[in-house]
Amino acid sequence: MQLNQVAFRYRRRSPWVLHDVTLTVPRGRVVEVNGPNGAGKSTLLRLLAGVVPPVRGHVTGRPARVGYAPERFPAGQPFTARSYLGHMARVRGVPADLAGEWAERLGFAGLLGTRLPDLSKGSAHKAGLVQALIASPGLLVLDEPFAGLDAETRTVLPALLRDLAAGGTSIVVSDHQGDLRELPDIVRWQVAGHTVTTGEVPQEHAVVEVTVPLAEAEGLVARLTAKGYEARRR
Amino acid sequence: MRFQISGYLRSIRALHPVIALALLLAVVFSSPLGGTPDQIRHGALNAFGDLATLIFPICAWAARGLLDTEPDAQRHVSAVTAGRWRAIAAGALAAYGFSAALAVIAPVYPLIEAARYGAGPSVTLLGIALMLLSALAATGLGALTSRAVLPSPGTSILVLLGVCAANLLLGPGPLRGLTVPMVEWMRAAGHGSAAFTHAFPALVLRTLGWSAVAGALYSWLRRTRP
Repeated sequence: MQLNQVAFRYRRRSPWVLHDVTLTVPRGRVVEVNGPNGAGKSTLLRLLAGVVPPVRGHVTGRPARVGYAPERFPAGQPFTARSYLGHMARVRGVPADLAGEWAERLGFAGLLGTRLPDLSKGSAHKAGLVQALIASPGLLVLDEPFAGLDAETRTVLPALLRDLAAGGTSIVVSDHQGDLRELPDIVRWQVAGHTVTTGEVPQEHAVVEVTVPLAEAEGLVARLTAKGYEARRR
Repeated sequence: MRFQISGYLRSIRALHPVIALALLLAVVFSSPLGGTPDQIRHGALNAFGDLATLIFPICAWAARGLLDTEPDAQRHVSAVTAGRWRAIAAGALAAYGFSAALAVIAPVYPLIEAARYGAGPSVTLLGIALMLLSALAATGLGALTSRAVLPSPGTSILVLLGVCAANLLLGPGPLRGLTVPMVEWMRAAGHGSAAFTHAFPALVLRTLGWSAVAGALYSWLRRTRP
């Protein structure tokens, strides 16, 4: 799957959230999306999942089955978790029993009879994860999947994602909590300055953004590079 | 589609247009149709024309309410789960299904009276068809004022009521070609069954045309509004 010269903004004349984004989503790998708040991580994930089409550019090769779990699960719906997941399974054309199996793996099976508005934040989040997972997706897009999860599920989920990736699923996850740090072969994307850069950021390193007057930009990049830092101007 | 109807029926929102319709019917039929059989048949036909107009804002409100029952994040999930266009079509069909149910329930009393006093089946069928057409155009307006298109509830209600008022105000004038022909529904029904039957095909085309434009505009706007 590829994003070619993709640009997106929510309204005409509003500032671009992302522009000039060209990426390849590697098959069978886990991609961790990092970046400061408001950088456009959720927008990038929505573009990948197909929630929104790009304003400019193209997205090609998206798998037929996509699983998407938003940052905040919409818990204000008049269904029990079982009935909601049953509906989602029917829309997907998969047996409703699959929802129970995934719920079991995420430690959520005991709450399937609970109404969605009565679920805790973490449990509602699990319902969101289950609906994304039941489809056996070729692309799985998870927006902050670890937020609000209990310690046990935080341990289970990375291993579960690793297994899915090993089965060929491409997985894109935005994560502020660093729960995917232990996964081998993880691909990292940085969203900042309205674009996305790919590449590994070693664990002991961090990305620092500095805003400087235009005239000083080249000089600062040169000085930082001379000191051995990886620096570039956006 | 079943998911959206199910969510709507389980929420309190579905009661709003139902109560509004009940109040409307209580007021309109507070005094029963009376007089000679001919007068009763004429009164029933008149009621079809009036009801088709009166239920328009209620059906538009019901359609908007049904589409707005699905939270924004769920709409995004549904777009991924079912496919964006399939999800949009399912929402529009569910909204029309509920509006059409209200529209078919509304004229039960004049339908019974018309049948009792010998109105031909063709007139009663045309009356029901008129109600379904009204629901169709109203669904278009409801969809165009739903949260996915107009996020502000204040603006949305203003547009919904504004379009209903504009249809009635512009209906008798030179711009009537731009309106849902509510005024002409009432006028044709008021002139008797022959005039109603004669005018019906043109009214169908006008209403279908308006609904098609509303549907196309809704689809176009939803391209970039998930």
